[in-house]
Amino acid sequence: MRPSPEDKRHAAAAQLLLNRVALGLVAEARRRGGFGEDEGALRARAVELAEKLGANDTGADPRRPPVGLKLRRGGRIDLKVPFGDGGRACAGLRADGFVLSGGIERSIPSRTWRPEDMTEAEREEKQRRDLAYEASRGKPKFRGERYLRTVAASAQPGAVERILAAELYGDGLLVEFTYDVEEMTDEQMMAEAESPYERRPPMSVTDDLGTEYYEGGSATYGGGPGVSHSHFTFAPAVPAEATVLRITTDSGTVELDLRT
Amino acid sequence: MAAKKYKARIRFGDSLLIATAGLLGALRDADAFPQDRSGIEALVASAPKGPDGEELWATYEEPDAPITYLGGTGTWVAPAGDGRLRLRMQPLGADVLTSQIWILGPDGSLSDPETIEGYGVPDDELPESARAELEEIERRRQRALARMPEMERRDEEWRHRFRVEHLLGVVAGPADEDQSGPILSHVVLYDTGLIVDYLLPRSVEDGVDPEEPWEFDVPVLPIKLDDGLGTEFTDCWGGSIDRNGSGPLRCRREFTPAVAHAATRLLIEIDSASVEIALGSV
Repeated sequence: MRPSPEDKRHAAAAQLLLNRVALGLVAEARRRGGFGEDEGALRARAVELAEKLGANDTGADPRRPPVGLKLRRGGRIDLKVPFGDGGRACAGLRADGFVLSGGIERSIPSRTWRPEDMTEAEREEKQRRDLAYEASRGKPKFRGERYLRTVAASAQPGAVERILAAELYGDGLLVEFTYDVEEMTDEQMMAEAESPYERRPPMSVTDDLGTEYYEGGSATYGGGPGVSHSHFTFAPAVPAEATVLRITTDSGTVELDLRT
Repeated sequence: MAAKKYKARIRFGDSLLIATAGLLGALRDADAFPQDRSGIEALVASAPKGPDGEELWATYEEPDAPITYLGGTGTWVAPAGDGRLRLRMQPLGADVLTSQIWILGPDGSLSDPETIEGYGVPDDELPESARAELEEIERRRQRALARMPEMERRDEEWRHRFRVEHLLGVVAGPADEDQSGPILSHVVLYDTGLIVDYLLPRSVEDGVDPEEPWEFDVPVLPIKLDDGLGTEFTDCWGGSIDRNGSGPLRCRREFTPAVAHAATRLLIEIDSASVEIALGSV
């Protein structure tokens, strides 16, 4: 959702207030030789400066502190000035004035999705995720510990999703795959941004020993436009005695010969 | 091969805060900002540098000099009297020439901005220097427009280079690689280039702040490819680094052109690790 003119005005006011508070703290730090170690005192001083400078134009909840501060390792601080309905101007800086980070953060308003609000594809994706969650609940996640080897997949002419390789680890496996991603129209991008469930390409893994693989946690998919370089992870580890790994997607099943 | 390593770090920040906090920090224990050119230029040069040597970019201008939008870095600094500085900045994203003026005091005070459209005078009163600059800006715009078709063609080529229609096959790295350094996982061969997927031991991550684990230095290792037929490979600077989990970092790098059709093997040197793979089955 694009920010409204009012939101932009609030963000600019928050950014300016943050800059002024930051400059005030840096000006004091250069006299004292640093921000010090008392986070509470520094936070109180930041609030005092913000109130003195006036935080009226940010549109933030007046019951909340006009500025948040955290003292970080290495004598640097993170500052946040709230604005509007959940936005924040942020900056991280050192006592000598070097700015390490900064920007504007905006929260996405929370919304409760009921099944009847979803499209058919979203309901299917929710169901798939619920099942995957149930299958992996209470079991160790894939962490990529102890790399063993990689098994390359053979060619899959005509397939939309192409399995490239499986990396085998001591606690699971990672399947690399690729597919084309077409450029989205503005309407498609908007619909995807507002959808509760981005469609994840379905994939399941089996072997000749009947091992029950579950989703391992980390995954990368989507992206583009052009092409997606993706991977899914699964656990547990492929047993050493397994000879075939079968990876099934919407494009069919690919067999990886584990004896090679 | 010498292990030349590069650091990859992306910083974001408000340009006004970067300039003002940098100048204030450079003031150290002085009570006032310098008011002459050499003093201000020395102040800018002595501004605190970032962890990777990042410098403050700002250009001196005379306080009564005609406004210019060329020959600087987007931030111009002038004396403002009473030990203060005047900063003139071109707002990011503005599609017309605009300057915002700020006064920075040695106590950290920052004025409200004053906005100047264009050169601050009606078009029919523009000085000759401003007219010449506008002509130069238009020439640059026209040159940029002339480059657009080629840039769009390259962008299209980049986005389509590794689509599945170009995929030839995958070759896995050997199973018995030394895991103390970079490990070749696999190479993906296309008729337009190739992608090298390799793993790096987690120990290469230095200085990761647990509070900000996304900000870290990653060595981008030099990769040398030799298909035995003299193909000269170019790093496309495309790829990714995946640091999820607790195992090795997973790295992907993209190269052009394709491995020669007649090549039977490919030698891959990743930093000091060297691996040869057979291409016969692809």
